[in-house]
This record gives sequence, C-alpha cells and structure tokens, in this order.
Amino acid sequence: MSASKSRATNTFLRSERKSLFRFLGVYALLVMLLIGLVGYFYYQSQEKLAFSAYRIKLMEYATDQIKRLHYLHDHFPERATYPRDDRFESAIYDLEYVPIFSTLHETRINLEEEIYRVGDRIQFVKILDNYYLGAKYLIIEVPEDTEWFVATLRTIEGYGLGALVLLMLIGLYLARLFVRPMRHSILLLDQFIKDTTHELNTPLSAILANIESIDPEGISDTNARRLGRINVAARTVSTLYEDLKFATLEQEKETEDTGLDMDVLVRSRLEFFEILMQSKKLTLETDIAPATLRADRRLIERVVDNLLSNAIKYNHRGGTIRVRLTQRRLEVADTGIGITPEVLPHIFERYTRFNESEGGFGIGLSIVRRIVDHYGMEIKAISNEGEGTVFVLLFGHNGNEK
Amino acid sequence: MRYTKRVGCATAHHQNTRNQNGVQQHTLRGLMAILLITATLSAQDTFDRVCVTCHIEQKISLRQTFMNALLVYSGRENMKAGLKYFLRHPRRDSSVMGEAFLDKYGLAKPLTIDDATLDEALDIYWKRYTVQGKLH
Ligand code: HEC
Repeated sequence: MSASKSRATNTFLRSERKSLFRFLGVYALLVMLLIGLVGYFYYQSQEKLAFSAYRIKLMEYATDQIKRLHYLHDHFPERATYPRDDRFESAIYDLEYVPIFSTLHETRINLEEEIYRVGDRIQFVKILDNYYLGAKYLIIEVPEDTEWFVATLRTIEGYGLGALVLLMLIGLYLARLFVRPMRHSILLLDQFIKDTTHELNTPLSAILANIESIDPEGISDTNARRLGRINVAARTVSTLYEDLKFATLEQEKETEDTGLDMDVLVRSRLEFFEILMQSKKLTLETDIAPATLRADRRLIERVVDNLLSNAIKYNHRGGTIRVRLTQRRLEVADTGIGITPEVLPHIFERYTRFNESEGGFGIGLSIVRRIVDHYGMEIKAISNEGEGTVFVLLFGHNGNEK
Repeated sequence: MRYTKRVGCATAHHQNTRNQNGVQQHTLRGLMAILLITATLSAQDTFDRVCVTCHIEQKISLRQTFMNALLVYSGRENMKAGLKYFLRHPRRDSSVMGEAFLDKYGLAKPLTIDDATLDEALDIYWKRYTVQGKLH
C-alpha cells in the first residue's frame, strides 16, 4: 500500500479487510463442517468395511463352535465341558435370553444386533437353526484390533487438512475477486477527490489574494458590498477546502509539534472569520487570556476553524458568538438553533449534520474529533435546543482537567 | 402308596389328640411337619408317577425326549408351554421326535391329568434334565 493513500482509503481498506476476514471465517466454518461431514461418512464406510471383514471371520468361528455344540448336545450329560477356543470367547443364550454358558469378557451383550462394538471388543451374534443345548443365540467375541481405526483417522486428518488449506486458498481468491471492483471504484473516487482538491488550491488562492488586493476606497458602495459577499463566500469555500485537504491529502503527513500561543492563533482565526460574522450580523464577545500549547499549528487551526465556522454557520442572524480562552480551555458558544439530544452524541461522527438546511460535508467535526483524540485532549458539546451550543475544548495537560 | 398311608396315619393321630388339650400344641406342630414332608415328597414324585412309569414301560428315554425338545423349544417357559400342549394333543407333525422314531414307537396317547399336576411334572422335568448350570 503506497503512502499516498488517504485515511479514507485506509478506512475503507480496513473495513474491507474486516469483512474479508468475516467472510473467510464463515467460509472456514462451512468448509470445516463439510470436511467433518465427509470425514464422518468416510469413517462410517471404513467401519462398515472393517465390520464386514470381522463378520466373515466371526462367521467361521461361529460355524466351528456350532459343530462343537452339536457334539456336546448329543453327548450330554456324559460330557459337560463347554467347548473353548483360543481364537475367541463365546456364550450361548436361550430363546428367553437366559444365559446357558459364557466365557465372554464383555457382558454387555446385545442380542438385537448382528455385529457390534462393545468396550474394546467386537461381538457377533449368530442365531442357531437347531437350538443345541437349548441355545438360540451364540455370541462370538474377539478383541477389536484398532489398526484400521488409526489408519482411518490418519487418512481423514491428512486429506482433511489438505482439503482445508486448498479450499481456504480458493475462498481467499474468490473473496478478493469479489471485492476487487468495489475496491477499485473506492480508490478511484478517493483519487478523484484528491485531484479535485488539489486543483482547487490555485484558483482559490488567487481569488482570496485578489479580493485582498482590491482597494475598497476606489469602488462604489454597491460594489464594496458585493466584494464583501464574494469575500465571505471565498472564505467559506476556503475553510471547506482546508478540511478537504486535511482529510484527503495531508492525512499521512507527520505532525510537527511546536509551541503554540493559543491566544494569538485564536485571535488570528477570529480575524479570518470576521467578515463572515459581519455578513450574518453576529456579535462577537471574546475573553481571551494567554495560553500555550504544544501541537501542530496546522491541526489546531483546523480545530479552531471548525468550531468557529460551525458557530457562525448554525447561528441565527444577529446572534452572538462568545469565545473564551483560558490556560487550558477553549470555549466557543453560539446562540443558534442548538442540537437535539438525540443527535448530540453523534455529532462527531462523520457525515452527521445538525439539520438539513445548512450546507457542509459534515466532515468538520469528525476532523476535530480525530485531532483531539490524536493529542489526547477532550472536547464536549453542551446544547439546548433553540438556545445554542457551547463547544468546550480541554487542552491543558492533555485534557485531564475537567 | 407309602406316602398316602402316612397321610392316613396322621389323620388318625389328629383325631386321637383332639381331647388331650395339654399336648395339642405339640401334636399340631408335628402334624404340620409331617404334612409338609408329605407334600414335598409327593411333589417330587409327581413326575415319576405321571411320566416315568409310562416311559419306562414304553422304553422311551426321557433324556432323549428332553434333548430333542430342547433342540426345538430352547427356553424353559417355551418348552413347558409347548410340551403341555403336545402331551394333551399329540400330533405327528408337531412332535419333536422325528418320523423314524414315531414309526417305531407310535404317537403318545393324550394325557388327561389335571393342569396343576401336569405343570408340576413339567417343572420337575425341566429341573432334572436342563443343561443350564450343568456345563463347566
Ligand atoms: C401313557 C404313556 C405316557 C405318559 C404318561 C407320558 N408319556 Fe411322554 N411319551 C409317550 C410316548 C409313547 C412318546 C413317544 C411318541 C411321541 O412323541 O408322541 C412320548 C413322547 C414324549 C416326549 C416327546 C414329545 C414330542 O414332541 O414328540 C416328551 C418330551 C415326553 N413324552 C415327556 C413326557 C412327560 C414330561 C410326561 C409327564 C407329564 C410324559 N411324557 C408322560 C408316552 C407317555
């Protein structure tokens, strides 16, 4: 990312990244679910395979055992030794589930199923055609060999991980593909604003410089009034231009903090806005004590300008603006329309405007907030609807003073 | 027959002691004991009385019939119910003994003894011939 990208762009890129991560999170969850499901079915099929191998073997054992039971049946009670086999354990149960004889290790039998796992054993239930010794059920039991289980688990692990990585890469690619046009248009818009802002600089400076250079003595009263209005308009545009420049072009600039005389700065900005106040017939009341602050002039100027221009913009014609500066505190009060309590908490958010009739990008206060936050200062707005608003900037010792 | 005589003897004894109140308790206990013994002995005998006699006469091993029945009926209750029905209504096609056997010995005559006696006999039959608990 090049350093020339403005904060707006970065904000977008940040939110883009956020939604990208969110998408990838959901995607990963789905992918894992899918892999889990596939793994589960694979495991089931492997288990079935293993069981069918067991079934063949245990069926053989059962056949052998049945032969021995047949023999014992024919020779009972002269012979009464239950037939045993090294390869398996077994048990016989009668039709009423009464055990006749058992050598099983695992006694939790289940005569409803043909083959099943119980504990670490596999049990196979064979139903006899002839109930030798009264046995309807013959259970053959062998210890379960876990080899297939380990192998299956390993396969699932390996392929699952591979699939996860692959699918995540595809997801990442897709996500980037989808946001690319949006990102492109945002970058384009951003660049457009930057270029336009930049182009405004020269003509605006020329207008302001030329207005200053006109001698009011040499022109008629009507023209002097017209010149005044041009001046007001030019300065309004100038403030807007400064905000735009700050928001787009100068975001990434390093701040150059110097010792500032706040009183001097505030006075000079009041002077700049004087003609705007006059145009609205506003009365200015000032109470300015010397105050110093260590910060970047450019930034503090944006704060003061925005507070003053708001106080002018949202004031009634013929209203009052009160500016008070003490060692650690700047207050700008107007007698304007005020801000409703619902809106008040949101005024520092970008693109909020106090009402619909007044112009402005709503960008001013969000710039103020950013600068104030940057220096760890504090700003608050107190407002009574219909009476006016007071903005209080606490800058002394990084705003710790209340 | 011996046991039937003993019952008769006890009854006589009972009648003799009716007027001797002092020893009545003692005699009653004796009587009870004798009755109990008699009952037990005669119960053990029901099977011998009802089944064995005829089977010896006919030279048919009750062991063999049991093992054949076991092959078909498997469980205790199942066998009792099955045999009970068969012994009351013997039929060639419901016998457990097979064609050759039936040709040689002929079908059993239907038993007409009462239900309780037959049940008792079949219980004894199972207990005496069962495989359960006899394997090792
Ligand atoms: C009157 C003679 C007689 C008596 C009494 C008798 N049996 Fe038999 N029994 C036979 C004969 C004859 C057969 C062989 C033919 C047959 O199976 O019907 C037989 C067969 C059987 C069978 C094989 C059944 C089958 O399905 O073929 C059993 C079991 C049996 N007897 C048990 C008993 C028992 C238990 C009793 C006593 C409750 C008993 N018998 C009383 C004559 C008798």
